[in-house]
Amino acid sequence: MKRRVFAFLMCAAMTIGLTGSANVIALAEEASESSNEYYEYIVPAGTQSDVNDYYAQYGIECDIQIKQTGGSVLWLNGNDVAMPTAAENYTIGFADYATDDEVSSGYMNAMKEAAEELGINVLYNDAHWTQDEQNQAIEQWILQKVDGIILCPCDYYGVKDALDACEEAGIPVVSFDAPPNAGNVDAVIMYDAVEQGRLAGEALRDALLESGSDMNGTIYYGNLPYLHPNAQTREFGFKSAFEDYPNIKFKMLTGETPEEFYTAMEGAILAEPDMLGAWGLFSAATWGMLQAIEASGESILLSSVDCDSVILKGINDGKILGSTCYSPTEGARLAAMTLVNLLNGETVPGITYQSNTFLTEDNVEELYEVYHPGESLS
Amino acid sequence: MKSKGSRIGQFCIKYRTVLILVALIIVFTCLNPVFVNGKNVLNMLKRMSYVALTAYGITFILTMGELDMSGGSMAALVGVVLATLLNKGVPLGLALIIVIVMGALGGTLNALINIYGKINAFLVTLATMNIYRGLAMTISNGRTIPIKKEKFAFMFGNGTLFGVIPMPVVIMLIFFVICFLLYHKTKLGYYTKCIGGNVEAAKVAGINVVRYKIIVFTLAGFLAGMAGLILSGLMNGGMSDLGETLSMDAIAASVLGGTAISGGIGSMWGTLGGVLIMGCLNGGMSLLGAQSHHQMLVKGLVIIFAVYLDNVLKDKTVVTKD
Repeated sequence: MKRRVFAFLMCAAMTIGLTGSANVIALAEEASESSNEYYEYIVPAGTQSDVNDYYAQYGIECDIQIKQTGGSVLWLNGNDVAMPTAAENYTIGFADYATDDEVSSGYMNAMKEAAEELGINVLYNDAHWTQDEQNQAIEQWILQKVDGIILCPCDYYGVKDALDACEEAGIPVVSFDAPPNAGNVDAVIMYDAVEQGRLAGEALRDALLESGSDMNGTIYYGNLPYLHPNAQTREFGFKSAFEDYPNIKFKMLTGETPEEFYTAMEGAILAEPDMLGAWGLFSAATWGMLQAIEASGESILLSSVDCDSVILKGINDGKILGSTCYSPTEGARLAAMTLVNLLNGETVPGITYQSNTFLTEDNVEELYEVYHPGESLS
Repeated sequence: MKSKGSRIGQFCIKYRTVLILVALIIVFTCLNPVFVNGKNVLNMLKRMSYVALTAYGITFILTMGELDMSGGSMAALVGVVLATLLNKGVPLGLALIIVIVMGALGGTLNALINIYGKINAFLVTLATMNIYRGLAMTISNGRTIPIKKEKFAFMFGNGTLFGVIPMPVVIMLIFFVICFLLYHKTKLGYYTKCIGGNVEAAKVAGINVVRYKIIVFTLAGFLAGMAGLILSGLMNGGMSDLGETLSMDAIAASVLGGTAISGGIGSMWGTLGGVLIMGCLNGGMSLLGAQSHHQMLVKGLVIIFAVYLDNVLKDKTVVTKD
């Protein structure tokens, strides 16, 4: 009984503003009345989900309304999720922010496979990081009277006009990847980026402690040159892992491409060859930093986020401590499933969280295929 | 007396941009009839409006035999500064004046460095492209600065005239008329062509090259600033990464429209046609669900084809005349 009352209080507290705060998994453990081996309920069905307050904690202005009231769930493994049967031959649009990295192209490929399995028609758009192009595609889909839209926004504010147009046309929208920060959507598929950073931070912290480090020095991390909701939240999570070590300083390197991070890290190594460690906030950062570390001949602990094959191979080769991974396939399948369920007339979760897993040398070989279906490390 | 073949050739040369445009419209319409849906056409025009504004300025600059790479960065800077000013409580009218003047002065600065620093305009604008983008990133701290002014969104974003024509399209057309008159009907346009055709001859003829260069670069900066206002209006905010391909798209549109990269020749109608070709390619391929790498590939091939066709047809004209 006590447990139920506690779970109820937790859920009520979350609905008034604590949804998704800090660590999704911790919350899941306390609210899992309706969970099974595939997913856990974080916010019970029948409850409105909210991401605005979650982002506000990290200084990100977010003003969206999630229309679906099916609570929030965390998927433990959505790669093998059984697809529902589409009640009609739906035509939907899938707007990907780009297809020039392994995650975004993974989204596109997985969506194609999911569509085939679902027996629905999908119109695709790859906006190549240009929100205006994505907005144009969405407006064209409205004219083509699509039944629904799945969208990975390029710009979290710039997508608002397209979302308004969908709302006006009565077309349901499922947001996938990081949610928009303006405009309304029916449901959101996202991951806990704070946890992604924290897992990477904890791995680096533990490795430092194991190596006998005095935990006094600098950790360099590679970040984007502009603010991005995922980057801000990952950064927060990473630093939170070192809360107990006030003598550790963080220095940020910025860039977008591996070569930019190579150059930046090269300079950092020259300036501080005895740095404690390094972290790549995303794959291009990790890869560039790793090349610079290798070229310098220094032994610097490096951790990462993202599941690109080169990163996973780097982990397998013992060059990278590990990386927090989330599966593009899982995300795409969950998004497709959510939209089809919604079109079938069901109430779907307002927020569906993908799972994060920290891959290390011990499990990378076994889990490689989760992130790169049909492939293996060898 | 001209032969029939020669007349057709002349017709093709004169209306090459229109012919390519019509061919694209037919192909995309056959592949997806939504392409010619009125709303889609207006949406495509809306999305090309900021490229058109930048391309008008680029047409003057290319005609003068120069190159300007900084337009996209200036557009981003204008958006970021405007959003910052509005968030600090500066009235919309004043903020607009400040950023429009800033855009124009950015162009003036390009010209002054080019003239008095004796540095090639391409190199100058390559440098200022980075400077303006860097400033935009510094001011915004990489953050999108939302603009929540309905008046601004109406004027430069998703407002419509008579409930039909998007305001960016109206702005594009107004500036087309202005730039057309400037380019084809005034001393400025005539002297620009003279300078681009032969700068030494222009000097000998008494044209104040320095003065006209400053005017042309200032005009291009001003137009890039206007493009920045539309981009910010459409995106509801100032963003430092806006317009990254704007300058290249504008140059491509202008060249597609028949503006000679070596200077001296150009046409505002041609530039508008080039912009529409780019818009058709973007909108059409988006409608067909082409992925971005395919879109880049096709756009590149079309540009090469159009410029090649232009050269071949021009050569034929010369041979015919000889």
